[in-house]
Amino acid sequence: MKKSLLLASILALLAAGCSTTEINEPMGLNAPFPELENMTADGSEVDLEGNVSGDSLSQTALDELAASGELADRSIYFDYDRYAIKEEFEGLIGNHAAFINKHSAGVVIYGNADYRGSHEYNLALGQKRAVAVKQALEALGVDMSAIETVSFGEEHANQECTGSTCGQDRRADIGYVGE
Amino acid sequence: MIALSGVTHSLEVIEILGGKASQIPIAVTPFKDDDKNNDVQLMHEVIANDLSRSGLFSPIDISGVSQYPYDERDVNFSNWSALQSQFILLGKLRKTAVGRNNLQVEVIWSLVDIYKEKTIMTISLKGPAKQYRLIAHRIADIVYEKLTGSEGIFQTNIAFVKKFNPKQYSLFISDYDGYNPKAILNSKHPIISPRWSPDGKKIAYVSFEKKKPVIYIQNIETGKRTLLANFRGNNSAPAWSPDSRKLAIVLTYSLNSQIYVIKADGSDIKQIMRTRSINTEPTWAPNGKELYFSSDRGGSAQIYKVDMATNEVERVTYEGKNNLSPSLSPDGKLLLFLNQEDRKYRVAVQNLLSNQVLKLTSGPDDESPIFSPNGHMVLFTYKDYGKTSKIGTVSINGLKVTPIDVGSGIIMESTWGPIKN
Amino acid sequence: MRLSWLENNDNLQANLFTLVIHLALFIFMIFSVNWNVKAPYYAEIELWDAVPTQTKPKPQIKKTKPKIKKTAPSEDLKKAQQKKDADIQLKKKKAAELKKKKAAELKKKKAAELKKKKAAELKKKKEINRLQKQLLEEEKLEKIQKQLLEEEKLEKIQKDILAQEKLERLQEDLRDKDLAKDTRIAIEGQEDLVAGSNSGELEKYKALIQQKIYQNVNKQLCGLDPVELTFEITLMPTGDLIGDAKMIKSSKIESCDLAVERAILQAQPLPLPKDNRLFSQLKKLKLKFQPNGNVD
Repeated sequence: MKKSLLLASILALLAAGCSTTEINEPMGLNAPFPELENMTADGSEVDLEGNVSGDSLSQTALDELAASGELADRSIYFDYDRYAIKEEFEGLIGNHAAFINKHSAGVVIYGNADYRGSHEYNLALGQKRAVAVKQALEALGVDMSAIETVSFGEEHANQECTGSTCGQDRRADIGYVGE
Repeated sequence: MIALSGVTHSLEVIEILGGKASQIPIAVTPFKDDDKNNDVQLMHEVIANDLSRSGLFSPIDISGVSQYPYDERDVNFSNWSALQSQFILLGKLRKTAVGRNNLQVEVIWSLVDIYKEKTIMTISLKGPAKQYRLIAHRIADIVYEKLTGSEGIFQTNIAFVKKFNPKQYSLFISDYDGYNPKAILNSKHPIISPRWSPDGKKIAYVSFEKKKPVIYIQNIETGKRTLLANFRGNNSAPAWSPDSRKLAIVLTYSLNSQIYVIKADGSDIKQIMRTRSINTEPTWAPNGKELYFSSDRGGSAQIYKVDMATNEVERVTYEGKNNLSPSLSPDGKLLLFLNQEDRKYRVAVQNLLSNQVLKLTSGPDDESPIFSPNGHMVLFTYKDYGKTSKIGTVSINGLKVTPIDVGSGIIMESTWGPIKN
Repeated sequence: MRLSWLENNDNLQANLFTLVIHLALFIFMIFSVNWNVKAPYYAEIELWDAVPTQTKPKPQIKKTKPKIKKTAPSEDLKKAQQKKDADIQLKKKKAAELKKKKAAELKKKKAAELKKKKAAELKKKKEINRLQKQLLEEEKLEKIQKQLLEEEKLEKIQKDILAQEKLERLQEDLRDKDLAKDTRIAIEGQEDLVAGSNSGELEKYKALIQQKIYQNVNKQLCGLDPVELTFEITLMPTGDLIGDAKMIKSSKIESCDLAVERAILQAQPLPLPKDNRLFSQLKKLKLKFQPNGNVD
């Protein structure tokens, strides 16, 4: 914790140094980091990985993952304002389902949306896409408690995309605990 | 008209139905200042900009005027009437030094009615010369209140997120017009949905610093913050109740985005609804009894309201294709939201009694609409020509759109703070 | 079309136009005179430069015959002399030809220039004539317009007088006959017929006043709910208010009351009829406002 805080502070200072050389900026990063508290108000610490019942990937599993061309494909793409899984991705999901079941892996599915619409609604839309993939895995025998879903909404999207290039942002990515 | 008595005609009656949304022409003249201190000379410009931005006033062009009045007795009514001005705001300053490096300024100003040829008010204000902008905002507020009957918002604050690059985000607080910005949070991860508590003391926001969205509440004065919600899945969309005691939030604890209400100290969480659809972006009605939110339960994103006592849900918006991001006016009569039609997102307002809808902006990528604390202006984000996100205001009558300049960079997720007591 | 254009423009416009044209013509005149004077000098200089042999004017030398013994010239010398003479003759001839040529060219040039000038002058003259004609036309038309208007006015006045006379005669008759309520109705009915609907005129002015005040009512300052206000005003024939606008009924919203009062004051001078009788009916008015629509 302290290390990351130190690193963060150094980065902040560096960043502050960078931003103050820019003449157009009316202000720089001059606010100190506020006190960080990683606990909920009732005192319990909630941690992402702890919620998933699956295992962290073993070395064999990691090797298998790295070697596989098929499993390198992690992204499922969606149509505008839609969260239905298109036929063309069923194979991909099948491959991962097999892998997960084989190694009892813990999975995190990250849902995303393109920039159009509000940030919050896109967070919800990204979530729906992640859930759609989760349910698809479920249908292939994966245990629900092994899959965590997280949405980034439009936060990782290309804010300047136009037309078809926005399709890149409408996706769900499969991630494994421990990789 | 037949006159029966034969002595006097009864009065002719003329009925005038309706009216127009127009701007009051007002002349704001430079304040007299014997000491040529540059800052303080801009006071009249700050006032004129405030009044102009509200959309209810139109400061007239005084560049052709050779002599400015500094006292109510100097006002030549026929001259100003000829310039089509209905009012004039004039004044003078006096600087005094109180201790070392502590310059104080006293402003004596008057608001004069040109048609009735009389002074409405003369007021003296004192304050540190460094805070000349705040003093000017205060003058604008007093004038605004006198002539419109509503509280002014020129002394309030706004908050917004600035994205310097994909690894640098800051949450800023500034004057409502973007001046004097101060970063209150710096992060390598996205920050969204900042919301001011109605009592003005805290800001809630969503941070991605834990690699997933969680909700913090931060005390503005001390900078100290607490983690309000870090449940499994997403934690987002914080909305303060009118009494600042509770927040409505959105969790994906049970798969899809659902709305919950939690106490401000993080205890006592209650689920408000459970459907298979998206339910998000909750906002409280000023009466504290209803929540407005967006949901796709009808097939497309629309705004609904739920009575928290009866759990009855009613659809509110029907215009266009999708409607998102609800925000209520302080009197609860107007609904502000994002309307999507023809792939364009624009800010719209709906009269909740008549259900009439007025589109306030033209889009195509407008977002985050929120009312000013007096319900007369709207703060929103839009994309400029370079597709960079910026913030600006639009008056509720749709007459005045003004950008807010807070420097270069991506500016988004803006919100308005309350009127301070 | 021309007619209507004239009708719609002021006399002032026509006068201004006339002035401008006359000014333009004046300038043209001056300009052309000046130009005439300049040209010859320039042409002359050029001529001298082109033919160097002629630059020096031939000096008038009196050739005195020298008392020389006449010796018989030799054949060669004679031939040479002949040749020389021939050369000189040739040269002279050539020079003369050149001179002639140059003169001819100059003449030609001058002629062409003159022609051009004349053409330009002619064109200008034509243009001037055309404009003058146009001016005259327009003046004529204006006169006709004026005449028509005058005639119209006269007609109207005559009509009014007739109507008035008729009315007065009628009134006299009726007065003699002591019929109270019915007579008044009869009079007003006749007024309608004769003066071309007098109550129509009244309504017209009421509508004009309503429109002018409506333009200024800033309803944003009256909230969202339906409200009602009533003011009483007294007017001068000029259309200005006598005293303040008196508020009979308030909207209960201060900014709304002030805004409506401002709307009335801003609308001065109100459009009022010149006719005394009509004006007296509009001298005192009750103005009812419902800025946010009907209070029902």
